[in-house]
Amino acid sequence: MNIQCVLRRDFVMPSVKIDKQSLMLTQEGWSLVSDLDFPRAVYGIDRHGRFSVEKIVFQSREDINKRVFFATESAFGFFSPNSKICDNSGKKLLVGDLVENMSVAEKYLESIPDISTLKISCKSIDEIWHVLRESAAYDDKDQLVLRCRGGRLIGVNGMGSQEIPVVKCGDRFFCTLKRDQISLWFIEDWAKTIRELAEIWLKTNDGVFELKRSEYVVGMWLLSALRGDKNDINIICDTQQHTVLVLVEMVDGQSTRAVKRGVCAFYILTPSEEVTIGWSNSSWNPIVNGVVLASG
Amino acid sequence: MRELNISVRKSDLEKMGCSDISCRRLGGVAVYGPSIHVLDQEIEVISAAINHSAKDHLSLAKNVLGKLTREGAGLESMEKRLFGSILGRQLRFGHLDSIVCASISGAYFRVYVHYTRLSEFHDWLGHAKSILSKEGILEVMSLEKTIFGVRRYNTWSSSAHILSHLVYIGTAEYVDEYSVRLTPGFCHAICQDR
Repeated sequence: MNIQCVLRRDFVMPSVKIDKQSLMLTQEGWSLVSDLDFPRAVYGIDRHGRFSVEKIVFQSREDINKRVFFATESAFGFFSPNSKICDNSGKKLLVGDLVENMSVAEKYLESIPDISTLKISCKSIDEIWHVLRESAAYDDKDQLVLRCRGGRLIGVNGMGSQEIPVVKCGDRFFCTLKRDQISLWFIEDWAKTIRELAEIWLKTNDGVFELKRSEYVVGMWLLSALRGDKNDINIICDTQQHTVLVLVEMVDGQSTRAVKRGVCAFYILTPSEEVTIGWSNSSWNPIVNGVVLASG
Repeated sequence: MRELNISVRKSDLEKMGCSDISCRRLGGVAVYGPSIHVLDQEIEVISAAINHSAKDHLSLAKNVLGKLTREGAGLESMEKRLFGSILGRQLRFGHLDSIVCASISGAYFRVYVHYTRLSEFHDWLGHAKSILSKEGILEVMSLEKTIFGVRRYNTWSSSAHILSHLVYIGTAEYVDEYSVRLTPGFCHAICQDR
């Protein structure tokens, strides 16, 4: 009995710090940490590299004055400078150090898993809709207009069963989205919907998807849909030191590479919240923004 | 005014007669100096001048920021690549952020905003959007008067940057380089769809 008590007292729950705007991979896909109720089952990777679910608990919350934007060739999002991530050899890296030492391009990380079998939640659809509204040229409660980032490649009519209307204003194209319609399409088949939306809204004349940094929620859903199609993707940022746009390029003639290089890491000096989460299985690590975290 | 004794070309340092050359990598650019101490000191001087120049303005185009930085640091000249790499460092540390804008030709360009002025920039962006939705057209000069009152160095350009960002989003389109209008057809498209 005494021995048991000692063991329990000595047990330190694995934990990690993340930004409230980080995206965790739940059973309903990508969810903002700020929107999660704890305890919550989330996806992670076990010591054998298997994709599995564990329950995470909330430990603490702290105000901080900066966060880190970090992108690899296959994923991107916001982290706390105190977040620890795992590289492909299992080594722990402090995200803030990637910025300070400018070592991002020397790091190799696991690629994001295929999540095409997951069902999207209404909360996640709300998060996507919020991003669309923030990016809209015009929004009116339950519908909005987005400027298409390309033009030449758009077939104005005939977007299959999920028709997204496109209009031409001057020499630019715009698509109109209705919240109830797009929500329904996401519930029916989120991967198809995000791909079609990206083809119309985000695809440039150069054939790449152009996202603003702030559109990372849409970005992670899109990257997951492309990953589910067994496409290899490549993320391009302005420079290693900073980016305002994130370009997603489809790489032809290659099978999906399991290991991806870091491409960009920098601070954003803005008030944020650092959330510490914990879990009990010490041989498991959660996935945040498409990257495997490390406890400690 | 003084000469800068760091460079993105090692050969420049060799020409100066430096035997023990130190190097720092900033993004994809290697910066060389006669010693690590001098190199770090010069990078700090230029970084401080970038911060100071950016803080004084709502937004700045890269060439204007370069000119103000060179003057602020008391330098006769500064290589574009050297300035770009140190500007990248300031962006990496979050002291500045960039905002993407669309030019009249449709090409994108980036403007730089000090982090302490980002919320102000976004507030004026919202303000310009609401004027535009009421009036339908907005001149750079009129927005400049609203934001800054009197004209000073770069105030016209900062006002133009706000409108250029609205063009990038798609809310506005250029009438000419002095004014933008609400993109026609939005309300029509939405009403037709209802």
